[in-house]
Amino acid sequence: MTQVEKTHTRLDRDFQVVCLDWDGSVAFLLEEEVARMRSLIHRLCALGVDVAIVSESDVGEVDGRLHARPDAEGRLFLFLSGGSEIYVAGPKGPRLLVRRQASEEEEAALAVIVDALRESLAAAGVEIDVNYDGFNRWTIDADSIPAEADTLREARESASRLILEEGLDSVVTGEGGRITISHTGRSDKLRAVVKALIENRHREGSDLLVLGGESFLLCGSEPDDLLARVPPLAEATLVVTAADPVDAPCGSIRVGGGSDAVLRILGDQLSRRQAVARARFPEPIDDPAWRFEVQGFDPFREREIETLLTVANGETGTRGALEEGSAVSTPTTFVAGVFGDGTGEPRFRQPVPAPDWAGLRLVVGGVPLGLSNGEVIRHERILDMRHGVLYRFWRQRDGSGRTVFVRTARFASLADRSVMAIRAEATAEDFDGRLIWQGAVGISHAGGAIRETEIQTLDGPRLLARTAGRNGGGHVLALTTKPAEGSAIVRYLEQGRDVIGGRLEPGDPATVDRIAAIVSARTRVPSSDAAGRTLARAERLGYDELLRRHRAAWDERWQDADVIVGGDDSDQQALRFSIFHMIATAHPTKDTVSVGARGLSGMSYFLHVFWDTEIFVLPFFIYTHPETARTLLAYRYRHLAGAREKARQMGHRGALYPWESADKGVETTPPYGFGPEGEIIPILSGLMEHHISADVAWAVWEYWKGSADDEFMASMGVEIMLETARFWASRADRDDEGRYHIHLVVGPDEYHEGIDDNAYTNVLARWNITRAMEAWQWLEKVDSGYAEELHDRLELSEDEFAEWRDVCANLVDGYDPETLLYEQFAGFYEMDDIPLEKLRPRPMAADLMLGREVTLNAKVVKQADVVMLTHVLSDEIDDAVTSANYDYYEPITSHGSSLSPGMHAAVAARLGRIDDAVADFKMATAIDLGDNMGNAARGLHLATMGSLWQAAVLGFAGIQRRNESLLVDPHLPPGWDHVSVPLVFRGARLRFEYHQREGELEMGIEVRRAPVFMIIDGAEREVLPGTYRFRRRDKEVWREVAT
Amino acid sequence: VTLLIAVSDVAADEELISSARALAAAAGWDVRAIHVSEGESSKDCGTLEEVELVKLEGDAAEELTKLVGQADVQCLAVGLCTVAQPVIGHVARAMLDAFSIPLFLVRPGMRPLSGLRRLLVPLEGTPSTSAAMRFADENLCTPDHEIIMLHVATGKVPAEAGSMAAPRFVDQEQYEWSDWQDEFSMRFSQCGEGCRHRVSMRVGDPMEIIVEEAQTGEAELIVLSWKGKFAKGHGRIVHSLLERAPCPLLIVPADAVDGQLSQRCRSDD
Repeated sequence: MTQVEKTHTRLDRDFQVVCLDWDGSVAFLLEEEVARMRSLIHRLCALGVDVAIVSESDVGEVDGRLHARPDAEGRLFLFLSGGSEIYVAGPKGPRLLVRRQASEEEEAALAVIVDALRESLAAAGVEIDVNYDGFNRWTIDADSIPAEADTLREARESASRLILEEGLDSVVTGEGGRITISHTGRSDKLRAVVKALIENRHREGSDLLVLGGESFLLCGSEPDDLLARVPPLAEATLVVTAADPVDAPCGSIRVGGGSDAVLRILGDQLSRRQAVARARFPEPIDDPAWRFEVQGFDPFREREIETLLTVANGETGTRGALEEGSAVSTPTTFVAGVFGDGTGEPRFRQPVPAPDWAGLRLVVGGVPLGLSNGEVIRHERILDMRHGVLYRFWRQRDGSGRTVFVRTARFASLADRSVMAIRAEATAEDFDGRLIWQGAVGISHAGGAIRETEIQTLDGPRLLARTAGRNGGGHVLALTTKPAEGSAIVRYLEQGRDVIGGRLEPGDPATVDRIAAIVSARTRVPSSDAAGRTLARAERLGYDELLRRHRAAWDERWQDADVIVGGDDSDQQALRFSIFHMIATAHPTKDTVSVGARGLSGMSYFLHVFWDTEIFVLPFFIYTHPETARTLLAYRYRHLAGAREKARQMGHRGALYPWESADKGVETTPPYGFGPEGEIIPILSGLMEHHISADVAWAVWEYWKGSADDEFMASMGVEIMLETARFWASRADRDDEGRYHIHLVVGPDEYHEGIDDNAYTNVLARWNITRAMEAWQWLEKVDSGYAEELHDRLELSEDEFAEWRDVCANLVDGYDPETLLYEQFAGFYEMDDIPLEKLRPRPMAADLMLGREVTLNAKVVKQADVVMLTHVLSDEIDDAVTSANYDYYEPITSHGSSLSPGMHAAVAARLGRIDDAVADFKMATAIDLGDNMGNAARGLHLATMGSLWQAAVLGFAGIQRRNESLLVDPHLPPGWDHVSVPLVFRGARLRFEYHQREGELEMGIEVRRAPVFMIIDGAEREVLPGTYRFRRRDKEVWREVAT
Repeated sequence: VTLLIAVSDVAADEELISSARALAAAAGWDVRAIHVSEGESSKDCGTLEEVELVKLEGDAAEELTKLVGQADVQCLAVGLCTVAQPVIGHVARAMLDAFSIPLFLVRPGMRPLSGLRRLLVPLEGTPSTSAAMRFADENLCTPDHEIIMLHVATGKVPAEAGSMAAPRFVDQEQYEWSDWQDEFSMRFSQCGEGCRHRVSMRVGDPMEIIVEEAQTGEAELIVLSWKGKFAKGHGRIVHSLLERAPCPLLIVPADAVDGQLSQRCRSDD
């Protein structure tokens, strides 16, 4: 409870106008108290409160002492000279608004009264001094008469009678041995206050708080005369601060305390508002399992940290750079799908980043605050993964010994993907002084295909930045920065720069809200109007509402996505971290964009889209948010023309998807790159890594089977499958013996280039053709009209289907039924053996450590290749074959790609090789989160994240699709005592709960919305909506214990 | 910064003196020289013109150690012996043992430093051994100089937080190497003085690679961080380079990095 609350509950609310009686309270303040009053007035004005000071004195007297210079929305009015003059005080001092000048006739009439009074008192033997010492006012000093003497009272009454007789609108007042006759009285002063600050500003009388001394609220013979003369005051809160006032209007509050009470009440009005600001500053989630925390500041790791702390929403991604920047910072906002031509050679499509919208610099006493300026007492960044908000807590003692506490909270809205927002609060902890937020919109530090950025300041706090890509798209960033509600700071120009700040006292929060909107287009710079409208809409909602909607959107997404792991905090964090960034990176509705290899977090890989999306990331979306999966596949459908063109250019039919895709869906892989010593390296993946076409087809099929989205399959999926199948049939070469080969490819293991009959490629090519024909038959059955149309448009024929069947029947795949092994490619078994110790420790970039010539000719595998095949076709390749190939290829895999260990973990888990699975899973988690890798500085590894989810859900939790059923066969790591997995499958919502204790595993399955088919212990059964519970001991079958 | 040249034999140390003066000129340092010979030697050498020469009495190593501790000296130049003798003489050895400030070491037969155009900074990829890079950036970075940041991949993975050794994952070569080089350069060098920085990564034995890179890359100076220990398992590379480096060495105390980290996080103005 505040001081004032203790005093009176009627003061326990905000007032919009505060009226102060200077003569009765402020005039008696000591100098330091006047300074405190000044500071309070400044800060209340900054919070939008209008302050009125009423005094009999003139402007020289009042302003000379108070010297208040507010520059804020709320204003300071001075009602002086008994209400004859009204000033408004701004940064340049008081400015006269109104002066009531008595006419000569009025002055003459008043002089008559004064003369009559002088004569009357002289007759009573009293000598007086008469002064015209104020504006419109005569003062009669009769010091020889006691204040309570009848003579004085009679003299006042006499003067009043005379005024009435003369028909004047003047008043007589008096204190001590003084009689003041003036053209204005107390009611006039307060009437002026009410008119200027209540009526003219369409406020209610209840918005007014009046603080006065003993006689301030008296203006007649009766205590309520004031209320009669100024009726709106009846609704106002009138406070008498005199210790024991004789009279006061009815309903007024008597608090006593004099000037101390005035300061206290004003201070409370300030605190009430600041409490709002403090309370509204969002807090990160308490549960450490949802927090990714970075303590301190390590300049060596900072770019890595920026990547990890990226906040994205599928449309934009903003790296977690320090708001004020540093020599090691690379603040960048990436915009999905906006590309332009890069410069330099080789030339290829590169992203067009947006300007840095989150740049904010705090200036303390004229000096920019930075981590290097003084001593860092606390520096902590927390990514609240539950709600997609990045928090920063920073306590710094600057070079002058002043301690400032700064906290920020930023997000890229998941509810409105064009919007980003940040709230930044600075509090002076042990000093009073000026705190200023300077908002800066910086040019991207990340390079990219920017042709130009034009920054335009609009009216008020708004700013527009138009960025044009080189021969490509562009975007408009619109943003606004404003003082947050309850923060006593204001916008103003300082040396031509728009800043927000003010002079604050210890504990005062200087809080700003910045809201930004980005609107982009793929081929041009869009209209500024769209960004302006988006920003206006976001501004109307305000930071708090935007945050509320954003958090709600994240809550909703986590419902079907959160994998809970009990017993291993680091695995839990790695999984949540991966899921968080996958959700943040993919756009659920925009089919012009897909998931880049490094997401929206770094310039590495230039936001290009690889097979990473379909094979590694897409399964997560298929089984948690099918809408997003569909949109990612729609991106491929949209770019089918580019894939056809690539196939045509290479002399084939059908669709060959580009190894790297950007905005146009054409091949974007650079033909060469530069090696570690600057040497030119030919890049063959764009020419030879063709398995991506089968990968896309696989993803289409997986989505269809996982989602039962027939509409997608009919409208888009079948065409993709047919065109990719057609490519493979065209790509395969028939030898003299009637066998088909696929020559000159690069498989997932990129150490071996220009190989023939890569098992992964060939088996998936055959699968692609087979499934395409199945899909075609399905389409003919369910929508013969569209099938006919497609048949004609694609110029399909029975002859072509016959050719496809021939290819499928005779395509070599390197499989040996005796050994159950697939030869990774033709001739792999004849390659050089490498002592395994030379491939340790893993992960190892073997081509670097052993030399490219060595790896090119040796049985060394960069990443899962045949093992990957057994994973993606796990519903067709049985465990015995998978096991044999895993045993053969695992030891010679160097895991020299970030795509490898997660997939190995998934396969090892499926096979029950738990030690391997755990080791590979941990290896994968370290790719982004290890603090000595340096890998993440230029972007997250989205494929690794997808593989971690697959390892956890498809591997450890053992939930895998088998045609249109789910196989459930968990193999949990020993450290995972509890696992919870939500899934969406063919219209059903499922949750699997595992509890592992004392050699027994308990499995709970909750099925909602629709029945699903499940395979448990080899038996398929339909599982109706409901809750099921099973138990099994090691190597035993499941026992259903409850339904 | 004052570079103090410890001259034991003016005639014999001619390469030391000229190289040290060239280093000082390149860095913009002041030069002082001190005669530390315990026997008779000529000081009448043109090389030392314009340089004040002060003769120390007593044990040379002891006196020099005291002087370094007391005087305003930020870098000490010491001559090495020829390869025919133990390379590290007792004065140089004493300075290495009491390693507290950067040491500029010149061995007879090295390519003397006449004008600095290219310097080689071997980096392990750990923050704690990157003092040499910072020293080079702060003292020798000008638009006329090229700094080769050499990382030799050994397969070892440093445990130190903030380390960045050779990549262990190379997903797509067309991007990974340039990304790695950019990040390596930014992580260990924050120089904005216009010096050209080139990152080179090689695989093999660090000592062999450093010597080879200095030889073929025509580096005039090797700047190396060192923790100042010759005990078992330590200082092998430094010792070998003192014997085999083709050009002068500037050895920078590795712990200099800790006190200067804050300079790396200065705000951009």
